[in-house]
Amino acid sequence: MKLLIQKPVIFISLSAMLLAIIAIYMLTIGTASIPVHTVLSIILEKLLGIHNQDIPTTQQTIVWNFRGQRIALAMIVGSGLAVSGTCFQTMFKNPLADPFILGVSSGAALGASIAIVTGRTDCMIVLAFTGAILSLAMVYFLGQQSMHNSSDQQLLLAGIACGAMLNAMLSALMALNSQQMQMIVFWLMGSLTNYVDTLMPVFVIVSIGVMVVMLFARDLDVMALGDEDARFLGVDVDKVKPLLLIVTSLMTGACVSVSGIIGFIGLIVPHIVRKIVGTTHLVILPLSAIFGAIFLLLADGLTRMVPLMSGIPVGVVTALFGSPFFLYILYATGRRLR
Amino acid sequence: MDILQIQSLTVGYGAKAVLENISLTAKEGEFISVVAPNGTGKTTLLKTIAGVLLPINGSIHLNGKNLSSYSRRELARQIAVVGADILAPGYDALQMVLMGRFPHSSRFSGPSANDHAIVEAAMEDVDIWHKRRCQYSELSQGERQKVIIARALAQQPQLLLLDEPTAHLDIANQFAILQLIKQAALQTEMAVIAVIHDINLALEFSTKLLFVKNSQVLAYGNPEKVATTANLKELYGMDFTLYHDAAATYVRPNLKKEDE
Amino acid sequence: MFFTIPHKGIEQSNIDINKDSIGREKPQRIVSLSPGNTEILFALSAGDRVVGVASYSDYPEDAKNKPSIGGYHAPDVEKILSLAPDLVIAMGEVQVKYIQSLKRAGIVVVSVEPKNMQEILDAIDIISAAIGEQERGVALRSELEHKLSEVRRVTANSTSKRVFLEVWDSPLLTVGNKSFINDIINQAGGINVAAERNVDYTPCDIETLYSYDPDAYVVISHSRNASRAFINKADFADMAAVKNQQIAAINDDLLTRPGPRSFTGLVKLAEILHPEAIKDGEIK
Repeated sequence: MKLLIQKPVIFISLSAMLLAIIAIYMLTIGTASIPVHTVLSIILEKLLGIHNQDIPTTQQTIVWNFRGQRIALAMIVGSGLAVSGTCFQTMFKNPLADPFILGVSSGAALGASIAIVTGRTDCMIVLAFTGAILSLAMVYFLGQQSMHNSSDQQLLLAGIACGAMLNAMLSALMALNSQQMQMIVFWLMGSLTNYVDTLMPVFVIVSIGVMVVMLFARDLDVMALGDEDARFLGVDVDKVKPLLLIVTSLMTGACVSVSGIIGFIGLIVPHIVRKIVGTTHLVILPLSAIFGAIFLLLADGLTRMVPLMSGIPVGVVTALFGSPFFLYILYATGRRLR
Repeated sequence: MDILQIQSLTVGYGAKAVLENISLTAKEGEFISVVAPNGTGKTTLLKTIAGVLLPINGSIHLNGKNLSSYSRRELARQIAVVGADILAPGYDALQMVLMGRFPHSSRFSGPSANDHAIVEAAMEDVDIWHKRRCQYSELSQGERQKVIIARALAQQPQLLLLDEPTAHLDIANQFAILQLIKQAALQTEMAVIAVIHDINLALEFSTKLLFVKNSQVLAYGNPEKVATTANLKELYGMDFTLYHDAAATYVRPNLKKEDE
Repeated sequence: MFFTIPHKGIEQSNIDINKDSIGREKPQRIVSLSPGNTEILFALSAGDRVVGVASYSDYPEDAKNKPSIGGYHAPDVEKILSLAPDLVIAMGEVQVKYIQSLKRAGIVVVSVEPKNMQEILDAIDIISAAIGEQERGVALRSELEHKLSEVRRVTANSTSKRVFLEVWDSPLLTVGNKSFINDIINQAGGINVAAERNVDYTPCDIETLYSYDPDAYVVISHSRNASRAFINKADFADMAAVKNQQIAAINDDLLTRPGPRSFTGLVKLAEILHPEAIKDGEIK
């Protein structure tokens, strides 16, 4: 019994170390190849003020400002989406649920597109996040009935319906503004290279989101049994479920606002993690965060390491690699059930 | 003090009542069986007592306090429900039973050693401990039922609500489980309210019987008072014969012989 | 004698120019399927014969009053047919589906898709022949050719400036060598830093921009001016273009519509890149 409890902690720590290694490696790749020791020196200097060697400012700017932001964004968005996905899959008891299922991403996309079409790209992120919040409010209002009942169907339907409506509005916007269609399409495909003035807001939102979800890790374990049994066992489903849905949707909205629509992370990572470590959320949630960050770092790294893929937005890469993987999961699950 | 006090309770969904005007009290060690023909809202009654459904009318008091004044978690510490069979993906039997300790545990840590001890005891009592590592969804219906009962016992409730707890068990297990529950009720000073289909099982173990027909209480009280041929006829629409012996009372419907 | 044009990217169909030259009536109801073609038509003084234009055809002023037949990407075939045109000027492969529909309906369609400045001039030839304004076409062409050669003359002696063209800031988009804007840059005495990419519009990440370190940074403004340029973020402060204040904006209409104004855009771009050679649009 003790070994079993210890194993998750060791595994989580090892995964965290793997993440750190990958992140540092990613800082060395780019148009200018910068050696690892330089990267480490830069990190030491910027984080801890330890001056190791003299490094040209261009290298410092490249590693710390440019690549650093990209890597940090990859980790924040990757973990945010993966944790949201885990939460959604448990709460809806649906292995096909992903963070975009309630249409939050469509709201954000519409907000961003309005920014592009009106030329107010300085407010892009704010408008996208506003779109996400409004679509969440709409879905909550429409699906309210089922938040307090045992059926999730109404909520899911509300999400799908709102998402469809917002997508239709988005298409209309693109058709009416064909000049900016290409810009919108590029944004939609998802990218970690959108310049963000400060990463602090999205970092804070995602961090708080992950912490809140972790707080309810044991409740999530019980909620996997179904709303009714969860109530019998002491989970205040009528309060916890809406809270978690709102928190994860805000996390998702924040991620989409800064990076566009990067799919499959919220869908695939929870499956991988569950396969490895089982179903205890106190373990799955941190691992999802770590694996989500790794997944996105690797996907983004591909676009920088493989010349052929350099023009491809990272959202396309996650879809290209995520969808066959997802098909494999379906196949393997089907085979097991037979 | 009474663990449970129900007065003039009407239960149902929205405005639609399914059971009306129920009054009963449950004390420690009592085993109350609710017997009724199919589909008469027995499950609704249990859900309302468990605090998951709002009553349409009447009052429920748990340990002297109104049911609505308890938080969900407090309720789960005192009331355990054994309900319908569910599909629990990915959990093994041990994990399922461990969830019974959820209302007693803190938010931030996993199950304690004490929790594990209680769970082990409960699983041993229902004789399912040897299957603790099996996937819950791969157990037989009877084994799943035992797991859920173990979970309810692990909750260490004061009031145990059971909805057809022996539906999928063979006769030996039916008696064994109900015997176990009755003993637990006496030992831990727990009250039990069970919806039981089988009138004979109910007669075997209950301290009180509640007959329900057409949304109304037909009879309530000690089994000898309630299980009369008159009441049985009204409940099931058939003639019954009562059989007594030193150990037990049981009933049998009078079926028409072929040549009558 | 048939008039054949062996140029890449230019397609001609259903036109028997012979008939024009022996006195058939010039087309009187012309529909333009792109803003650039609209501008060419008006520059050839055929504006009064234009009965329908694609959306965003807002130059010259008179073009705004013409009925709209929908966007460049999806022209409304029914609307076009309802205008009973005797000639439609289309734009390239993007519209191939609509061109086919129109032809099936018996409409005469001329399609041009200039990939560089030379092909813009050739397009003017084709269109002017199709509408029966050969003389005006020749005049317009030589006027534009003159601008082009003048620009090339005065910039020949200066070293080519490396320039990054910002099409959009969020996401950051620039042009590769498949866009005809790339050619405008070349003709203006510049080198597109993203020219090695075999694409039209393409996203660019900040690290790559930084490593390009262009001499000049030109923003294609869609009613944005240079101060909103992406490069004005703090992190780029040590880039050459920022330090030397070589950041400018050009109206998008001048660079994104293959037509006469592309040559105005050419001059403006050359002026930005080589201020010593051109001032206020005047070539020295």
